[in-house]
Amino acid sequence: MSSSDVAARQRPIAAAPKADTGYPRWFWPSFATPGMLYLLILFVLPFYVILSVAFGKLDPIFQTPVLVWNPLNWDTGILSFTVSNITHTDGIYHAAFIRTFVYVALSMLLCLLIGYPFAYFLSRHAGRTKGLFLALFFAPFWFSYMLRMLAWIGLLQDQGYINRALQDVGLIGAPYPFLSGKSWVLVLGLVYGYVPYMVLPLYAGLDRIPNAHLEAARDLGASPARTFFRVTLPQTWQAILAGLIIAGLPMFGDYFTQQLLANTVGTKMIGNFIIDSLDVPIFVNRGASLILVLMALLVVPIVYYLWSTGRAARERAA
Amino acid sequence: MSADQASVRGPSRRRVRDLLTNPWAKPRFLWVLGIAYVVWTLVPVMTAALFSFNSTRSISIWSGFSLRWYITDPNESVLHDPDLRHAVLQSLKLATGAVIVSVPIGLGFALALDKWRSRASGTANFLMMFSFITPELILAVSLFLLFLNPFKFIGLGTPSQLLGLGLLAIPYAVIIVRSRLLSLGVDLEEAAMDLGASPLQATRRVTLPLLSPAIFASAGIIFAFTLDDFVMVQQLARTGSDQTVAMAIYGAARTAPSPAVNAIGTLMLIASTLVISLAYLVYRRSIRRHGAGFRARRDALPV
Amino acid sequence: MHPVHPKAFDPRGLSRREFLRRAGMAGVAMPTLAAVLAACSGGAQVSPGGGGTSPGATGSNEFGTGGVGGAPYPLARLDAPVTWNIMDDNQPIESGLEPEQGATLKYLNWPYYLSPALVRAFEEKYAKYDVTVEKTIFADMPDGVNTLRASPDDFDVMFGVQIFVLGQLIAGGLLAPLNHDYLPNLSANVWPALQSPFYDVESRYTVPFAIWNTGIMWRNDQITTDIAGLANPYDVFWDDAPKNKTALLNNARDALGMAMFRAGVTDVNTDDPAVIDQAKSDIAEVVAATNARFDHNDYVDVPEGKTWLHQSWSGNVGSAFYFLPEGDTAPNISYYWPGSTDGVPGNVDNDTIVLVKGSKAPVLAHLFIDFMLDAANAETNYTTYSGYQAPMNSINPDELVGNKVVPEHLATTVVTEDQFTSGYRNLELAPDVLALWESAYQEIQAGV
Repeated sequence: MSSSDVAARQRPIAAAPKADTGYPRWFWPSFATPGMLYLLILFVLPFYVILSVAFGKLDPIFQTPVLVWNPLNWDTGILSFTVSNITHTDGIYHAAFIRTFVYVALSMLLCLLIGYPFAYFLSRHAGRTKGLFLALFFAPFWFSYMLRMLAWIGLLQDQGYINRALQDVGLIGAPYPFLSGKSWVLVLGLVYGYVPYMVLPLYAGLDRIPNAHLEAARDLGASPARTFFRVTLPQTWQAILAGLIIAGLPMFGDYFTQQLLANTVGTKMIGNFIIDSLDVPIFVNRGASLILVLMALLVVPIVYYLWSTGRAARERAA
Repeated sequence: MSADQASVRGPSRRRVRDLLTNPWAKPRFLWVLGIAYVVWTLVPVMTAALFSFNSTRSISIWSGFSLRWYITDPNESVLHDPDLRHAVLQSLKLATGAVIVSVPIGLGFALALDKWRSRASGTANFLMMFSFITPELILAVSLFLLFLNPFKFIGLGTPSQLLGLGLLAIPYAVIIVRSRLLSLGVDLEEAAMDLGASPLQATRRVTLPLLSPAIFASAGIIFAFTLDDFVMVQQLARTGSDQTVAMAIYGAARTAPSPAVNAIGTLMLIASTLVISLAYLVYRRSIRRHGAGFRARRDALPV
Repeated sequence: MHPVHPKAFDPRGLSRREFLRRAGMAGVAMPTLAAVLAACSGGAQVSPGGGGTSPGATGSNEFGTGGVGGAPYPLARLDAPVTWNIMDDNQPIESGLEPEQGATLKYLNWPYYLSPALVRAFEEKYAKYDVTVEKTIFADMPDGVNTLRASPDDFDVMFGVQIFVLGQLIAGGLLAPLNHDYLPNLSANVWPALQSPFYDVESRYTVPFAIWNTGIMWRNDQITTDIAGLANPYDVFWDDAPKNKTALLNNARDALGMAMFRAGVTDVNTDDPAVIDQAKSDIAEVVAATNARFDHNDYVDVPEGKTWLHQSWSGNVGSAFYFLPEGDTAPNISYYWPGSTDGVPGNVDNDTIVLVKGSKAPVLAHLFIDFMLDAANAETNYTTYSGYQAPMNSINPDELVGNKVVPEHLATTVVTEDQFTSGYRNLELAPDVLALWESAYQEIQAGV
C-alpha cells in the first residue's frame, strides 16, 4: 500500500495519459445520462410543479388547481396562510406539526434503543448463526409493510389475541381500545415499521470496527462497559446518525400508519393533512404548500446526512 | 493473538470458558435480545399469514384450518375473485417492470460516477441521494400532480406507477453497484488496460462480470421492496385495474378486513422470499465465480 | 351511498330475503305515493329547505336555465329547478343504433353498490355483442369526481353520483346527454316524481339510482337510551355518546348538517358563516367528548361492536345484515331517522346514474343503465345486495316492512313518501360557500 498506489487509485481513468483511446471527456459521464434525465424529469420537475400548484390559481368550474409556471405570477399568499396556521396555537396545522415531531422523535429514540443492541448482537456475537440471523433480520424488509400493520390490527382488535389474553389473565375487564386513537400505539406502530431501517446502518457501522480495537482496550484493562462507551460507541456516531435519519425521515411522510392504527382527530400527522387535502380540490394548494414547508424543515437533516455520508465514504475509500 | 488461535481451535470450548471467566462475554443477554427482536418482528407477520387459512371470516379469532380464502370460496377466494387475482398480477408486473427500468439505469449511473471525478459527478450523486432520502409521500404527491397537469398525456395508471417505482428504485441500484465497484478498486481494470484493452473493453470484459453479484443483488432487493410498495402506487393509481396487493390490504384493513386479503399478502410474502433467496443464491454463485473483489481479497491476507 | 360486501352471497340461488320478498309481494300496486310526490317535487311549492341561500338572481347561464346564482353554473334548488342545456358539440347519440361489438364497458361506482350478479346477468344478456364489464371503485364522492376528471375518456357510466356535484360535472363537460329511446324503463318503472326532478328537468343527463335518509344507527344492547323516543334524537350524540365507540360520517355536508338539524336549522345549504361556525363548534364538542371517528364503515363496525353509535345512511343499515349469521334479524342493531319525530328535521337524498361523455360504447352504456332501471333488477340490487332503496313504482315501502323483509325495529330505513317530502336535501353549493363548509370540516379534523 505505497503512496503511489494511493495516488494511482485516485487518478481517474478517463484522464489517463493514453492518447490513442479516442474517448472524449464526456464518454463515461454519458452513462449517467439516462439516470440524470430520469431524475430531472421525475424528481426535479415535479418539485417545480408543487411550487406552481401551491402558488397557482383555481379552475373556475371544478375549483381544482391550475398551475402557474411563471414565478412572477405566483401568489404566495398560501404560504403565509400555511405558516401562520402552523405557528399560531389555534392554527389548523399547529397541533399536527408538534405532534408529528414528538411522535417521530419518540419513535427514533425507541428505534435506536431497540435497534442498537440487536445490531450489536448481529455484528459481534451471532457467531456461526450470523448468516441465519442476518437473513431473519432482513426478512421484514421484504415483508409488506401493509401486511405487518394488518397483523397488528388483527392482534389489537377488541376480539384479538392480545385483548383476549389480557382479559383471560384478569388484567382488564373489558377489551382495551388499542386502536382508538392511542398515541403510544401509533408510536409503537411507527417503531415496528421502521426499526429495520435503523438496524441496517448500525450493523454496517458496528461491523466495521476491527476486533483489534476491542481487544486492545481489553488488554489495557478496560471493563466491557468502559470499552463500549470509549471505543465502540464513538466509532458508531456516524452510523447512529445515519440510522436516525434513514429511519426517521420517512416517518414524516407517514399517514397510513395513523389511518390504520389510530384513526382519530387527536392523532393526525402532517402526512394526513397533506393526503386529505388532495381530496378537496380547493385545498390541493394547501397540501402543496404543506409539502414545501415540510421540505424546508427537512432539508437541513437531509443535506447534513448527504454531506456526512459522502465524507465518510471518501474517508473509507482513501 | 493467543485468543485468536484459541478461537480457531475450538469455538465451543472457548465459549464455555468465556462464560465462566471472560468478563467480555455477555452472550446470553445479547442472545436473548437477538432472539426476542427476531420473534417480535416476525411473529405478527406469521400470525397474519396463519389467519389467511382461517375457516371463518375473522382475522382475529381462529376457527380452524381451511383453504377457503385461497381456493374453495366460490366468490371471495383468491382463485375466484378476479379483483384479488388481478392485484397479485399487478404487483408482480410493477415489480418486474421496476427492476427492468431501474437496474440498467442505476448500473450506468454507478459506472459513470465511479469513473467521472468532477464537480458535476458530485452534483449528480447528490441529486440521486436526495431523491433517495426524500420521504416517499412527497415524491408520490409531486408525481401525482405532475401526471395530472403538465404530463396529462401520460396521466395516472400503470405506466406512471412504474415510473414512480423506478424513481424509488434507481438509488438502490446505484448504491449497491457503487459499493461493489469501490471494493473492486481500479487495479483490475488498469491491469487489463496495461495488457492492451481499451477502457471500454476493460469495463465490459473485466468489471461488468465482476459486478454481476451486485447486479443480481440489486435486482432482487428492488423486486422485493417494489412488490410491497404502497404510497407511490396508491397515489398514481387510476382505475380498479391498477390496484396492487399492498393497496388491497390497505383498503380492506380500513373497511372490512377479510382473510382473503391476508391470503394475497401471504402469496406476496412467498414470492418475495423466493426472489430474495434466488437472488442470494445467484449472488453467492457469482461471488464464487468472480471473486469477492480484489480489495476484499487483499484485505483478507494476513498482514 | 356506500353499502357493504355481502357475506357469501350466492348469485345462483335465492337468498333468504329474496324468497321472502317474492313470497310476500305479489302484485302490489303503488297507491298515492306517485301523486303526492309529483305534487311536491313539481317545483310549485316552496321548498322546505329554502331556496334563499344565495342572492336572489337566477342562475341561468350557458350551461342551463333556472337554479340560483353564485357559481359558474346554475345551482339547483327545490323551488328553482334547473334545465340543463344540451350543447352543440355534445348531442345525445342517435336512436336505433346497434350496440357496439366487443366493447369493454367501464363503470365507476361506490364500493359494493352494484350487485356483481346483475353485472354478470347483463353480460350474458348481451353476450352476442361480446361485452365485458369492468368496474372501478371510488371511496367517496370527491374521489369519484377526481377519478372521472383525471381520465374522462376511460369510463362509460358512473353510478351513485350525488346531486350536489352534478353542476360541476355537466359544466365541466364530463357528461353526455341521454337518449331516452334507449331507456324505456325510466318512464315505465321509476317514481313519477323523479322522472323530471328539480335538479335535472326532463332527466336530460341523469336517471335516479338510490334513495336514502340519514339517521342514527346504534347497538341497542350497549346503548340504553331510547333514541327514537327523545324529543330531539340528535341529542344522543351530545348527551349520551359512548367514548371511543362513536362515529360520524366523514364528509362536511353530513357532519355539519347533523349539528344544524339538531339546532333546528333546516337550510343545510346555507352560506351563513355564523351558522356554519356554530355547527363546527357543536361537532368539535362531540369529538372532544367521545374521541369520535369519521368514517362510513358502520355496516361492519356496528355489527362487530367496534362502534356503538354511528351517524348513518339508511342503506348501510340494510347492508349490515350481511355481516351477521344467516337467520339473524339483527335484534341488537337499531336505526332511527330523526325526521320521523315531529318538529325535528332530517336529511333525505337520492343519487343518480350518469353517462360519461368520453364513453367509447354509448349504446351499450345506455342499455346498461336501462338494465339497472328494470324493476326486478333494481329490487334485486336493493333487497339482496346494496341495501339502498330503489325508487321503483313496484317497490312499496309499507309492504317491505309489513312483510318482514325489513324488520320492524329498522322500519325507518325505508324511505316513505312522507319522508321524501318532509326531508331536507344536500344541494350544490357555490364554490365560496363550499369553501366555508370544507374549512369548517378541516378545522374539526385539526382539533381546533
